[in-house]
Amino acid sequence: MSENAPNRVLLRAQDLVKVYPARGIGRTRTREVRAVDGVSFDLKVGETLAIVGESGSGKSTVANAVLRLHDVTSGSIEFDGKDITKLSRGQMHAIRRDLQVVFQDPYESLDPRMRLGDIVAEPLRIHSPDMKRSERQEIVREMMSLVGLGSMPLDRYPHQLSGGQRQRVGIARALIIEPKLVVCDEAVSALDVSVQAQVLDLLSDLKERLGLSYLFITHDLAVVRQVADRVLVLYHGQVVEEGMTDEVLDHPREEYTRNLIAAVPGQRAERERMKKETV
Amino acid sequence: MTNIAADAKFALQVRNLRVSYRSDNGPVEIVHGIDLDVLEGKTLGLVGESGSGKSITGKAVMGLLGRRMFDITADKLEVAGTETTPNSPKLTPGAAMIFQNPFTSLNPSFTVGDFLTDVIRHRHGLKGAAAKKRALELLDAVRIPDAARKLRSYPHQMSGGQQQRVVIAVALALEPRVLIADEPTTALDVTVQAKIIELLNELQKEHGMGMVFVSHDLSLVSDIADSVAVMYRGKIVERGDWGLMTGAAQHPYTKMLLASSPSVRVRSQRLSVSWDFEEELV
Amino acid sequence: MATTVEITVARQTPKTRRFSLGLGGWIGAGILVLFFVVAILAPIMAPYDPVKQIGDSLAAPGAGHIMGTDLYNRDVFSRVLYGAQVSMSVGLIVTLVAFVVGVVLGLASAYFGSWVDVIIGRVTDALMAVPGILLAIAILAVLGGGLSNVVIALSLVYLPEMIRVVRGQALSVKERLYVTSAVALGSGHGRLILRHIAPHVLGPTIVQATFVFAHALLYESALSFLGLGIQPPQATWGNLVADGLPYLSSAPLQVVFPCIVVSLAVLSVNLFGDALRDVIDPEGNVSR
Repeated sequence: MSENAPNRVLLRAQDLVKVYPARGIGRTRTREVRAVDGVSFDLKVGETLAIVGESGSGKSTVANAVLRLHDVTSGSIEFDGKDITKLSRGQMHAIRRDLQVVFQDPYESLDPRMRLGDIVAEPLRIHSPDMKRSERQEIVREMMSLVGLGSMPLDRYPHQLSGGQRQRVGIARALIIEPKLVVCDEAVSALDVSVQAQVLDLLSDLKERLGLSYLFITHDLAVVRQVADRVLVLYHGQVVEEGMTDEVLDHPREEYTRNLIAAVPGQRAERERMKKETV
Repeated sequence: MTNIAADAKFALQVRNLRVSYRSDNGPVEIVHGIDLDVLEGKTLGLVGESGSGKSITGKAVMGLLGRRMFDITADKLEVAGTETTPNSPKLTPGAAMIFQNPFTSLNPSFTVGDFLTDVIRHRHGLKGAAAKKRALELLDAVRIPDAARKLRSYPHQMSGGQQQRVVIAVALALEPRVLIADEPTTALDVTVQAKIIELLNELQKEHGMGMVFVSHDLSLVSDIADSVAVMYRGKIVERGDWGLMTGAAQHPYTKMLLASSPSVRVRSQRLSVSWDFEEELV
Repeated sequence: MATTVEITVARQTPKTRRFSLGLGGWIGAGILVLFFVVAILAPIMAPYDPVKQIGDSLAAPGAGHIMGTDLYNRDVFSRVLYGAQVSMSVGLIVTLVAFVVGVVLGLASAYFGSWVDVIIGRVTDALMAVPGILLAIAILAVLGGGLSNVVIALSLVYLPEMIRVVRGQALSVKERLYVTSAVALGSGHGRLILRHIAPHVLGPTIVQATFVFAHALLYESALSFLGLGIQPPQATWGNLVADGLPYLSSAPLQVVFPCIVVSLAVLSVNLFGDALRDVIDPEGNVSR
């Protein structure tokens, strides 16, 4: 199958299990925790797959496993055909070129001692060390423009930027080496509503322009409706429901999913608003 | 303000509240003349994004801002008819406040029972068995199951939702006429959040207290508030009743907030709405 | 432009902290610089050869001898100046050695963990088990006296502290999200350690180094006083005190002058170090 054929599976997770063993003895002994308990999913090229769940659902653990930031207890993760759970650190290096991440906390994810230009250029320095300085700077400027920070001086430090701007820098950094898959780990959860809207639109634009696929981790079903083609609902480490976004959100099959949808705030006002508009 | 009955009582009334911060470069005003009206048994939603000054306003009304760092003035600050001086070193009488993170609000060295009976003793002068009985009543009021055992538990042994219920119980022990809730559900899961909102609604009806619900989430506010005030950069740019959230919004900032909120029912083609403010560099 | 002040968690960031040492800091820094200048210029500044017998024995301060002479007819002032050379250089070298080796071992320990951490940890524990001065004495007893051995002994005494400070800082920095981000980007070990962890560790470490310097000065004097460090007739502050002590009643100034000088040097380093710590490490990640 050709590289960009639709329906080609880019990421396949099978029977992921992550167990934190019981520790300690006596009264303070902690229990064994199965953070992820048999999670499987496919993510196709050009698709945005959302993994949604509350705290303790295991969604962050899955994200960390996909990024090989933590190891799984068992199960396989195939990225672009290769099982990345078995790769050595050196072999992972090449994979990371195609597999990038945007984190939740815009305040912590950027090194406070680095200038913006260096932060965004870092992936280029790591993966294309022979690139000439002028070429690299050119690409950095292009990328900053693309994320809407074209007029931002590159010698600024992160603390001089707002949360939304920092998140854009994080996005620029993640995309500069043109990855195939970007893991967005609650990438908009810490942002103000207006900024969140801008970042979501930005992510959507970039996906089209650069031909990206997203694995979107979130707890917010409204965001899921907005960005995701397909959604996976996790509860206590297990997949409770999955399917096309509209299908799952309009016709949920499982009770947990129904509860989750019902708990989303603002629906009463929205219904009234829609009634008024149709009148 | 829309039609209010002539004999309606106000849980909280604030006129021209101004807060200044004593920075190294001189005083900086961060809240520019806010008016607030909260009726008994009703909730005012105070909505704003970060930097709007909503939390500072809540703390100023409560009397929590230290006078060394902050300067507070107001033409009127009244809780249930009792006037208070805004810059007073004491906490505003008749008011109670709950915060975002229950875990940091509760002292981990004390059991829930210790905590509650301490506050009860302080407020009502009850001791021993009488205090304990009242504590149990409060835990029941906030719908915590197995209250007797929970009295002996430490905060870290409870879930986030239960911790927040305990925090609410402590606030109730003070029998406040107005409760200021500063993002009380932001740190909680969405299903737990829904239950806490439900609880607050019920408690309000039962006790007839007014509530100021401070939040950045307009959708959440729409589930609990009877009236809304939208803050931007230290000023209230729009206020109204529930109709504000169902289409009556006038101010471009409010409209932008409404349009930017993603909906779980329907996808928007484009979420962000341009408005004439640029992202400021600090 | 409206100034919106965020009264949320104050983020510690490198550029907005004003570099303000305060009065004490500048005084300390000034005196310290003075000591270094004196140490370098001692041969030029000293009116007499420090080991040559010149004037009378145990003369009080007066004409030709600002601080008087000692038992062996040597000019005390010249000896104090040359003593500065010894003390400052010992202090500096010990600090540098402890700093460099401490940073390397501390970073390795925190970053690689497992057996590297265990081995370094055990060695550090062993060295710390013996109180500083006793450890120095023990090492010198084995190696013998003299300048280089004093440097070795003191470096070993202060190395564990440095390793601990560096390791502690590095461990907490390692958990920060920007380090995780760098890992996710594909950074290798070198880049992670040098580019992301080390810069955040150096601040408190430098502060710790200033305190090591103060201690090293003091201990060098103590060791020389005990006769274990630099041997006479070479002039060190400790030796001067040792020489003058038996004659405390008849010529107290022999002892007083070197004592004042040592105290002043240590005080200046502490003043400077405290002020530096307020700038670099206000949260108190480094104790002492």
